[in-house]
Amino acid sequence: MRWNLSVAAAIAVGAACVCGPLYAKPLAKSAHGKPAVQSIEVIAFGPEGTLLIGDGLSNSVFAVATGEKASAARFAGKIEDVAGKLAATIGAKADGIEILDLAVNPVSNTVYFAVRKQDDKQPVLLTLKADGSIGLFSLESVEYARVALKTGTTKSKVSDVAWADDKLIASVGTEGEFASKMFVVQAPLNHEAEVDLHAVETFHVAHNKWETKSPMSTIMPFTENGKTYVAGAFSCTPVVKYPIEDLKPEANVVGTSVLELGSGNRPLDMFTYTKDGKEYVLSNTFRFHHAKKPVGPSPYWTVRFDRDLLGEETKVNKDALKRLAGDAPASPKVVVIESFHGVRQMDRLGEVEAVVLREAADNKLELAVLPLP
Amino acid sequence: MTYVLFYCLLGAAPITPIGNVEIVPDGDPTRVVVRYLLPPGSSAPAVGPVDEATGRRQLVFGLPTTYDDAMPTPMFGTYEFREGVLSFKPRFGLVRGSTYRAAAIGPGTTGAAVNVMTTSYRVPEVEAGPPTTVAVVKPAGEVLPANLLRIAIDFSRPMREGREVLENIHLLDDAGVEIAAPWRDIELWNEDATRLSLYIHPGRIKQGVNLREDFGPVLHPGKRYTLVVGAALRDARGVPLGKDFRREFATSAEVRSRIEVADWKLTVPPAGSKDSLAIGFDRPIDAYLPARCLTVTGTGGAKIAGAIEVAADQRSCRFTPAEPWPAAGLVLVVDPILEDIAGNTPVRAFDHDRTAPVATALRREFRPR
Repeated sequence: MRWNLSVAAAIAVGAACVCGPLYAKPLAKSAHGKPAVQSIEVIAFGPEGTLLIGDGLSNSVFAVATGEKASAARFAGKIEDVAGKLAATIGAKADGIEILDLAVNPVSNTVYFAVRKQDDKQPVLLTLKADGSIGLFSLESVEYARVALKTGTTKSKVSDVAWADDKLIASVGTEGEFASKMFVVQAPLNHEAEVDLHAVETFHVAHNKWETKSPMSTIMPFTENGKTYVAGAFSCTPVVKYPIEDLKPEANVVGTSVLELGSGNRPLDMFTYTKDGKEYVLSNTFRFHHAKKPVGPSPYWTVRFDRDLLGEETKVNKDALKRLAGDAPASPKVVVIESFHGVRQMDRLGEVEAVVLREAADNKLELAVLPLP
Repeated sequence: MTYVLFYCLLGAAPITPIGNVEIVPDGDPTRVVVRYLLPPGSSAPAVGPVDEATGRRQLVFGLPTTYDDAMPTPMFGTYEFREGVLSFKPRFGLVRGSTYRAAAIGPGTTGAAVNVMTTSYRVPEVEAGPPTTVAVVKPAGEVLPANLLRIAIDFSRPMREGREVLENIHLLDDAGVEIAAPWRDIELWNEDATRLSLYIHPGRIKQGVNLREDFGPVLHPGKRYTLVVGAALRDARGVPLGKDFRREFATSAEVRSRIEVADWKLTVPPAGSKDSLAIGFDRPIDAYLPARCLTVTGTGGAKIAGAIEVAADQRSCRFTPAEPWPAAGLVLVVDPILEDIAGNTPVRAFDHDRTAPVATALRREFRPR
């Protein structure tokens, strides 16, 4: 859900010396006008505040220049009944919209919401600025590039998009078949270009024996020893990594499980951050077996794990670290974060906070800014 | 249209008359133009487009709030001033069945004195019509394998997407008890949201995955189950189905083998005719994938135009050519993504044993007689 950390490091390097940033420019050949966005299923940000829009209805990912200026100011309050307040700006009630995704533009710290107006299914992008004002991000006249996803169907579902160094990555499922493909696009992006785009299918192995297709629901790029990986999560729990160099045309890529969060959970958002000199990953998770065996008061719970677990090379797959040993935590490296209970969606806001949408006591959604644990 | 005047004078400022404000449907009843004839003495903006911040100081349109009798929550839209009228067009369509309010803010409104005129507009409800129903559920058949992967539900109208969908679709066991968390919690709709592809959670089908080991499979062989699509599920208009849809089925043993294209029975039509090529499958195949996954070509690969029709029991299909069959060798080509109703493909079983070979036979040759 978030731009690879190594890119941020590259920018820092680029700013510190005369040499330019190491990442590719996000857009090469772009168009200006109104992109033909039909649905907004997921959003994320690439370099230079480029908004990435996953649109399965048109089998596309759009990369849109937001043109936002750099700002360190961040929203600091809390918004009760945030769905109601967002909905009212487009003339609907809280149950008349669905907030499909949330992402923070790391350049401006503006919070973006991907919203679907339920009565006419119109996709809408709303924003929350540091001063608490709710705005509309209009796509009427923008600089953009459309990447067409060759899914073989008239419609797909983009489950996540991310930017990894110099590549755009999208995880895409289709209505008809049990599979999801990862599309890898070399940057800079060219509007309507169909080159440098390839798809891989992701697989998972159980008990070193059974290999099945495994649709990815969440993806997060990261770098380990100079090598870039995509970490992801399946519908049925394990956190898996794929070296990005393995994502080659028509390849069937088998992932390596590095962490098992426990059965009955589906990771939703994941991002990395640094606190007190140590790197962590924070992931909120939906527990579909909450009724049988709850982790917290809500089916939505959040886990923090040490980032170095993603680099594990030997204790993997069936030997991967499990969050629990029996009913007790198996390792201090994997911790349930109680202050994040009930978080349905989240993204990092600056270096020390997260902005979250969580269930409030009145069963409404509230937006809050929480310190990173 | 109702007019309400709010003269909430906390100070002694004289009341200045407010001009006329009206909400005019703009063709479609969900589209309106709000017009405010500014009264004499108003600070009129320059003629032409007016920015939103300036416009909202004199005219606000949106849903009423619970905390302010007069002022609605402003919607995004465009303002314009011409011939003494400040007009506002909401950016988004209004929601049927909802009541909106326009508040015209008159001269003299300050922090102490509120001089506001409001008018309301109720968007007509959706037209009455037959309720939306579940039209078809696939796979067909009274008995389905216990490792059934996908259920496709066709509705008679486009449906409302979102979190409530999976909350309103249930699976009951033979005692009528609801099975907890049977679905993969991802909605997959077709283009116009009339067909939902619903997955039984693959983590409870896959062998060796901890979800199945901890919670067991959703379906067990030799049992009876009922799929229930709840009455509260709403269509795209927001109208509930109104009554439950129920479909009972029994389960047989799991099918954990790949589709064997070599075992399919082809009934070859005469050359020169436009009779169908009948294809008998080795098992029930997904109802919708054959149209995408089966093609007929010449031996050189040139595609023969035609249409695929899958039989109701999904055990066979027919390919009907657009032009008469040539008296030549032809090939039925099978896309490896074709799936049976348990997710097995012609290349690999859903759970592929890594020691087993991967199939490569994805074609059948035939020659019209």
